[in-house]
Amino acid sequence: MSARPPIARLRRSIADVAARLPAETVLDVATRAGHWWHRLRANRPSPRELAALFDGLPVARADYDRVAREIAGFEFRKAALRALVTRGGIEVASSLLVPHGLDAFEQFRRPSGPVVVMTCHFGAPNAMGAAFTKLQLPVLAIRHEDSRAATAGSVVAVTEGDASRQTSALWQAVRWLRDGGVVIVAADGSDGQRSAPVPCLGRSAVFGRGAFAMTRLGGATAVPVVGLWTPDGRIAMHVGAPLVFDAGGTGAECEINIATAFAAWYERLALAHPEQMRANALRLFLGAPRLASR
Amino acid sequence: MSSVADDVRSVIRRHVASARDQDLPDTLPLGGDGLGLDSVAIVELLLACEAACGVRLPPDVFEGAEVTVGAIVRAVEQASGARPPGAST
Repeated sequence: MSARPPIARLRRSIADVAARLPAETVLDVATRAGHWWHRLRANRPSPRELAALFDGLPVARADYDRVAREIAGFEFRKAALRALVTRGGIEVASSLLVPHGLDAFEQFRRPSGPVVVMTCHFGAPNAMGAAFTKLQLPVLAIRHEDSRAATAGSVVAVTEGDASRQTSALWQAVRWLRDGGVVIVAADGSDGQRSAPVPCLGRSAVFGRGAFAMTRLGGATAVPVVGLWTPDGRIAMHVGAPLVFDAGGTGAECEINIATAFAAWYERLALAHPEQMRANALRLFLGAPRLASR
Repeated sequence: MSSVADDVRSVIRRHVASARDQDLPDTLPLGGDGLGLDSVAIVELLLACEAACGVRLPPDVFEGAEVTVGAIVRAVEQASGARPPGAST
């Protein structure tokens, strides 16, 4: 008999118990579990991987051990929050939002023109859905998978599946933008075409092309936004200044300019908060070609 | 007077080099094994069709279905209120 069913039952039982506890308690326990897991198996990620990525960049070498440990803690925390949102709805994440940072979202309520809210898989998951739901702002969310729990109140276009789904989602986004709306999209999503390589963290990095293409075709302003964990375990939204890019030239040149501006923002974010990088993003960067000079 | 179908095919031939000498049957997909366009090129083509035909295609026009020449013709016809040739009155 397979050992999986008992483990699956155990996991379900833990999740059932966790769902009855305050979210902060569950997330705190998950983070500590991540730290212990990291101590037992120092490969999620290893300080050596951090050294390979951040060598030559302004992240102190003495910090690599701490950053590696915290990335492991945040990975567990992220998984716990996802599970809580799946069971309890996006309100679980909304309850963790601190007011500071949300005031900047008012610019998305009645934008003077089309806006792409450009986010990335960094920091707290579900933060964007939580913020837009809490403020009841009408948006089109481009998501990999359809998750009603994570996107209550938003219109959703799903990209998971074949190219037809991605074409359909891109068309929806461009139409929505040309009607003056707000679209949320993660520029480092894994579906669809890749962008041209652009410099980021000393590497030649690629992102998803869709976010940049919809910004160009929708004639939109791109505003970078991310939700970061605060030291006391809550979520603070950070709304950046609109990306500055040259919209002239060919379509491909314009998209590279947008991607370059986004990559510069991402690099500043990663250097300021390396511990909130996702482990899989870190490994994607490690697998990207190094730039000749850093 | 040209039909919507003619206008759409004319736009496709103007924008896609590989389509210039083709009949462009209704069933021909714009992506993959058809004209081989990627998602961004297909959306650019839809915008060109909108501009050429003076219509606005709705956001859910394809709903994840494969975009074919015939699907664009039907979408533009619906958006413009035009009747396809041969349709009963």
